[in-house]
Amino acid sequence: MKSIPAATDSGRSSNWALTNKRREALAGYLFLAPYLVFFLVFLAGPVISAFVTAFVEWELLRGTYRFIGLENFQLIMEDDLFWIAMGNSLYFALMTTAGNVVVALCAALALKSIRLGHTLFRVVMYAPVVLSISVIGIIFSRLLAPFGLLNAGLELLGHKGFDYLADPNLVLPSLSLTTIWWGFGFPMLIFLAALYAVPEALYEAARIDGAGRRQILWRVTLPLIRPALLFIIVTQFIAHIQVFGQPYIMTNGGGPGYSSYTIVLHIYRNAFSYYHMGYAGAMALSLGVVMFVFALAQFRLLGRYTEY
Amino acid sequence: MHSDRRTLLMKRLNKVGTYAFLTLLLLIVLFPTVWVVGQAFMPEEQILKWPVQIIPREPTLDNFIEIFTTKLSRQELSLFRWLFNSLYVTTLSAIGVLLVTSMAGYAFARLRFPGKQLLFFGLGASFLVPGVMLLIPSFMLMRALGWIDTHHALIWPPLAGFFGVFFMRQFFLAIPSELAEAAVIDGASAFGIYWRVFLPLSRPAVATLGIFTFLFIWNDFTWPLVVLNSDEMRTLPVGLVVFLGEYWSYQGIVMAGAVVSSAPVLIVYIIFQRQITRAVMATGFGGR
Repeated sequence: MKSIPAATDSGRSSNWALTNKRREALAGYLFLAPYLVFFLVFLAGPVISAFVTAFVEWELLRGTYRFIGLENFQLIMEDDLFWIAMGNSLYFALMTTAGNVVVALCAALALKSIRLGHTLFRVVMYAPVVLSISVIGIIFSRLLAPFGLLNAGLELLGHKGFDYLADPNLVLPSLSLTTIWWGFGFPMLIFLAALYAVPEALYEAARIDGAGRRQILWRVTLPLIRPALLFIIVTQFIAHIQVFGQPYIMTNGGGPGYSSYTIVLHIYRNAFSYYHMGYAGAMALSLGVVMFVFALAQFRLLGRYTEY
Repeated sequence: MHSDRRTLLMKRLNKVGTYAFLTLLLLIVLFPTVWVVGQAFMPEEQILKWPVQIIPREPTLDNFIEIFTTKLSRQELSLFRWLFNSLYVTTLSAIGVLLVTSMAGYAFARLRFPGKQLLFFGLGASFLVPGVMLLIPSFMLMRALGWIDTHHALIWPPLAGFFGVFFMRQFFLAIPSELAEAAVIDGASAFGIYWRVFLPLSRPAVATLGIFTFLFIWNDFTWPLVVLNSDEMRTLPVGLVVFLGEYWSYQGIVMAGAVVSSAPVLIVYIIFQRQITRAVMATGFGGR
């Protein structure tokens, strides 16, 4: 396509248009080709293999690899640790998602209503999101230690404090609070974007109709940012049910006992400590199904009046 | 008249309440950070004092010197090695992601070819696959390729991520087509239009995607934990957790490690906070 030929006779011109179209299509495929290669090898391949692995007995140490149908899933049914871990992960995900949504929504509503200091507040509150879980884990296992920062603060108030990470009842809520501290800045920004998108005229109209602040929040603001709420609830739940780094780093892989033993820890341990690849794969697929069902339920419950 | 004054008072009170709430949140975020930095510069005797000390009385660099000079393992490595590994892996992978996904994004935004729509949604469906389902198959793939305990395992797989394609496509779509037409008349090839017209025009998008990719790969924990097993290959976040196992009782050293590991990402964040904020708000992706 070095130069555009002068279209003197109509026949040549239409012929040229055809090859031009082909050239563009060829260019399109060529531009896509490198990405497609990576996509097929590192994403599509593993996705297919994830489904196959779940139905295979695959012992890396013994070198066995054979198709066993649903046997892995029968094993899951009898695996007490799987159910304990699944319960812990669900509890953690629900708590963390709820906490994050409430804190982030309040922060976004507050941020939207101020001008002075807006950037400072926003920049600081999002900053923890860019930190690695290893840093967060290291800092908070110190902060929540018996002689850590939090108990030092409680002592000032005259309370003897808690052993947050060693108490079976406190450990998951503590990991959840850590995670909220780490991540609420992200849903906050999403809510803020949604709040800015609500036309100011709607608030005006509500105010003229005599609506109070609370009424405006429940009748105008929340219904209008419903798509953002739904998006955050679903994606946060999916992210937090896969919790791994927090207990891996902060509670020595799920302690005390199995109080903070999560499903991804169980998968990790089966795959990379015992090398039961097939069994671990079946658990990962089961978790995928659980996430899918929950996401669907959340769409049904919350998305009824949402239009996409 | 009376009700007017009341609403004005209410408004003021609301404003005060709003600032009080935001300040509280700000302190909750900042306080642990100040404490960590304080402890990193504190001699061990002061750290052991109760109640907890916040400000170092005699600031010292000993903790930092210790983590950079002590041999961290049998292979006689220092933290420099992990810092280098992280920088190396992150930079190469980010460059790869930028090249490959911007080309694909360009094809989806500006070129017409059969099957485009179908392909776009087919690739986009990969967003729905949860990470945990890919962990084991990806590990087996790395084994098959002989990439276990090599940096290839960290550099190449991120190039398959669809986010970059989606993100660059959005940006390329917004560029006026007159510019491309001008380039065609000047005799530019398809690649020339991409490379000399579209890529330079989308410098802000390329920068943002680069930062997102950098943060994502730098901070990743689970994947490097799974595919790397020798101390000399580890990246900083994983190395830190492994190394701190040995130094767990020396809090100052632990905190110095946390500071060194988070400094690069925080610097990047502060410099580019405007781009990051805008991209998060526009795309709904959080950069991790």
